Amino acid sequence: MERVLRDKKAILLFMLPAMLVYTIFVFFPMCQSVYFTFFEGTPNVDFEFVGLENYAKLFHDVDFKESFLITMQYFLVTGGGWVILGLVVALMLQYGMKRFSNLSRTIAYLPVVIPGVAAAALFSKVLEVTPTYGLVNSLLDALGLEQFIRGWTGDSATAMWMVCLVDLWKGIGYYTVIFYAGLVNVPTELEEAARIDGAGRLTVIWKIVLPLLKPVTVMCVVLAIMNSLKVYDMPVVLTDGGPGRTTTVLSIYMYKTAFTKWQYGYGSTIAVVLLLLILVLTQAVMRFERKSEK
Amino acid sequence: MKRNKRVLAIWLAAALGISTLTGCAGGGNDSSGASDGNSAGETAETETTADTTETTETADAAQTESADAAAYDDTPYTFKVISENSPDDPTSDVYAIKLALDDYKKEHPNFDYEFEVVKKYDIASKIAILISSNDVPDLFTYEDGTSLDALIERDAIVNISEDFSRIGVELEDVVLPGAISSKHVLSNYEDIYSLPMQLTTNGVWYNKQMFAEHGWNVPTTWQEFQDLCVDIKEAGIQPLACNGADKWPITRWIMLYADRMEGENVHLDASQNKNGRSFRDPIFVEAATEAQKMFQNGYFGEGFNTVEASTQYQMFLTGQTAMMYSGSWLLATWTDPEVNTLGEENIGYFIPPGIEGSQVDMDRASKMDDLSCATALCLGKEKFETGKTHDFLRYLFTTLGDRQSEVGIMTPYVTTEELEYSPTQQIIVDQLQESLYPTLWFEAKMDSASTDVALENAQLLAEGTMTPEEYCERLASSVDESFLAE
Repeated sequence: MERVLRDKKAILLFMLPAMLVYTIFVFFPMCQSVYFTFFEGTPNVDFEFVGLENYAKLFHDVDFKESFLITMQYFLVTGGGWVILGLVVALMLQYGMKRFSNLSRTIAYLPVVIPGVAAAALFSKVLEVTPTYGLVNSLLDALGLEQFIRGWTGDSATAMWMVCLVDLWKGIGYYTVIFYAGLVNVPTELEEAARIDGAGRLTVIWKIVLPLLKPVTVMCVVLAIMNSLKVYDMPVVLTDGGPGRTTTVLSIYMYKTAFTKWQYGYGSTIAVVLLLLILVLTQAVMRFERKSEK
Repeated sequence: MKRNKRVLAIWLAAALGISTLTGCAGGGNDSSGASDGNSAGETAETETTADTTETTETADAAQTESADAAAYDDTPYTFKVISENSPDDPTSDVYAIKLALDDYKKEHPNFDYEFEVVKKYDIASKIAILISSNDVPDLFTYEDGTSLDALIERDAIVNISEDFSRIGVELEDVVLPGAISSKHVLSNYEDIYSLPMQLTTNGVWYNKQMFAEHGWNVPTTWQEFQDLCVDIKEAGIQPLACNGADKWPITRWIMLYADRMEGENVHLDASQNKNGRSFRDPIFVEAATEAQKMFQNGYFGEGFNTVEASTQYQMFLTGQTAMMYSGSWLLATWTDPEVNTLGEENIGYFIPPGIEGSQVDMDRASKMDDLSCATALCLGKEKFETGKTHDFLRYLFTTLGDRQSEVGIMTPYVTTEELEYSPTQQIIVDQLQESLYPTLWFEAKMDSASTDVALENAQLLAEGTMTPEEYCERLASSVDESFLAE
C-alpha cells in the first residue's frame, strides 16, 4: 500500500476524477468568465469584443462604487464580527462554561445549520412592522419605546445593519467551533506554568493562548474575508438589495448587471474585481502573518 | 516549502471565491442546436392539421383556413412553462393554462409538462440565462413594454403577428380586437411579439362596508381623495395598503398625479425624451413631491417598503386598511369566497380622480386608465420552430377564453359561452368600457437601466431620504443615456 501511495502515477490516478470535475465545473467557467470581461452583449447572440472597455467603465460607474463601499461595510462589520465574536464565544466556552460545554457548543453552532434563506425569512418576521409587529417591535412597544418602532429591513438607515446582524448571528458559531478546536489543542502545561508564576486568567489568555492560536486566527480571518465579500443570499432574501440600493452588495450588483441588464461582459468584470479583492486581502493577511513570524 | 504554502493559500482563496465568477459564466454554451429547430419546423409545417375533439367551433373554422399547422405526432415531449405565479393557485392567472395542459395530457399520454415558478423580477434574468444556453421555454410570462425588446432583439421569441397562424388558427379568431390593439400600443415595433395574459385595469379598491359605516364617500377630485385619507387616518384606520416591496406601487402615484395634471402620455414621452418632455420638467418634481407627501403623511402606514402583495391583500381583506391601489387581476381573488372573507358585495372600485384646475378636465381624468395586458405571454422561438407544440398551442388558445372566464379572470381571449359576471367583475367590465384614454404604467417605455433607477429610488423617495428633485434628476439622467433629447 505504501509503495502504491509513493507512486506518482497512482496518486495522479486517484486525483484525476476530482480534478476533472473541478476543471469542468469550476476552473473552466472561471476562465470563461475572465474571457467574457473582454466582450459585451449576450453570449451566443450578440457578443462583441470591446477590449478593456469594461474595466475602464468601472472607474466611472457610480453604482459600482456604491456597491463596493456597501460590500466593504459588510466585510468590516460582519466579517470582523465573525472573527472577534467567534473568538470571544470560544474563549467563554473553554474557560467560562466548561460545565455546560457540550450544550453551549450545540447552541452556538445551531444557527450555522439553518439555511441562509430560512434564517432571512425568520428574521424578516422577527423584524416586521406591518401587518403586525414582529418580536423586536413588540418588545419596543411593550417597553414604551414607540419612537424606535420601524420597518427595520425597509428603512434605509437600518436595513444594512440588519443584514449584517442577521448574518453575524448565523455565522458566529462556525468560527466559534474552529477557534474552540484550536483552544482545545493549547497545551495546558503552559497555562498552568503561567498561573504558578502568578499570571491572572486574562494575562494567560493574552500572553499565552492568543499567540498560540495565531494559525487558527489567520485561517478564520481568511475564511471571513471570503465569506463576507461574496455574500449574496442574505441581502437578497431579507431586503432584495433595497431600500434603494442601500444593501446592494457587489455580488447582487454583478448578478443584476449580467442577468437583468443583459451586460454579461460587465457583470463578469465585476465578478473578476470581486475575486481580485478577495485575493489581495487574503494575500495581505498572509504577508502580515509572515512578517510577525519573523 | 513556505512559498508552496503561500501559493496553495492563494489558490484556495481563489477557489473559494470562484462561486462569484461561475454565476456569470454559466450561460456560455455552443449554439449548435439552433439550426436543428429550423429544419424540424420546416418539416412540421408540411404536415396537416389534425382535429382534436376539445377544440371549439371557432377553432375548427380557423383550422380549415390554416392548414399548415402540425399535429402532435405522439413522440414524447415535455412542454416547459415559466411563470411568476403558481399554477396550482386557482386565483392565479396561469391556473387556466395548467388546466389546459392537464386536459391535453389526458388525450396525449406522451405529452408532459413542467411548470417553473420564478419570482417576478427574476424572470428576466432566468430567461437571459436560458437564451445564452439555447433553452428558452415553450411558454413564459414576462413584463411587457420596453422590457420585451431585449428578447425581440435576440430573436428569442415568436413574432406573433407573423407566425401565430402557423399553429392552425388566426390571431384575430382567438384574441379580442381590443387586446390586440393594446398589444400594439405596448410594442415598440410594428409587429407584436407577445400574447395577452388578461385584461387589466388599475384603480383603488375600497371597503364599501367600512365607507358606509363611517359615512365616507367615493372622492370625485384629487383634493377630496386626500381629505378622505386624512379622515380615515383620524378614524384610526390605515387609509391605503401599499406593497412597497414591489416598488412599482410607489412610482404609480407619481404617474397618476402627473397624468392628471398634463395628460396621459406625459410620462411615456418623458421616458424616451419625446415631444420635449423630460423627468426634469416641473410637473414630475411636483408629482414626486405629492407622492412623497402621501407616504410621509402616513396614508400607507408603517414599513411600507417591506410590505409584499400578499400582505397588502391580507390587510385589505381583514379591514386593516380602507383602500388599496391595485389591478383587476384581483378579480379571481375577490370571487373566491374562501379567500375573500370581506365578501364580494363589500368591495368597491374607483379610478383615482382628476385634479381641479389642471390641464386635464375631470371627465377625461375619470376615463384615464393605466392598462392593460401588462403581463406578456411569450412563446420561445426555438421550440416553436420544431412544430411539436403547435397542436397544443392551438388547443390552448382556442379554449383559454372559456377557461379563464370560468376561474374569474377578465379574459382577452374569445369565449364561446355567454358570460355571467359577478358583482366585482361587472364593475371592471363597466370600467373597461369607460376607459377612453388608456395609458401604460410608469416604467412601460423606459429602458432597463432607467426602470431600475425609477424603481430602486422610489423606496428612498417614499421614506423621505431622497428629495423629489434628486429623484427626477437621476431618472432624467438615466433616460438621457439611452434617448437623446429631441
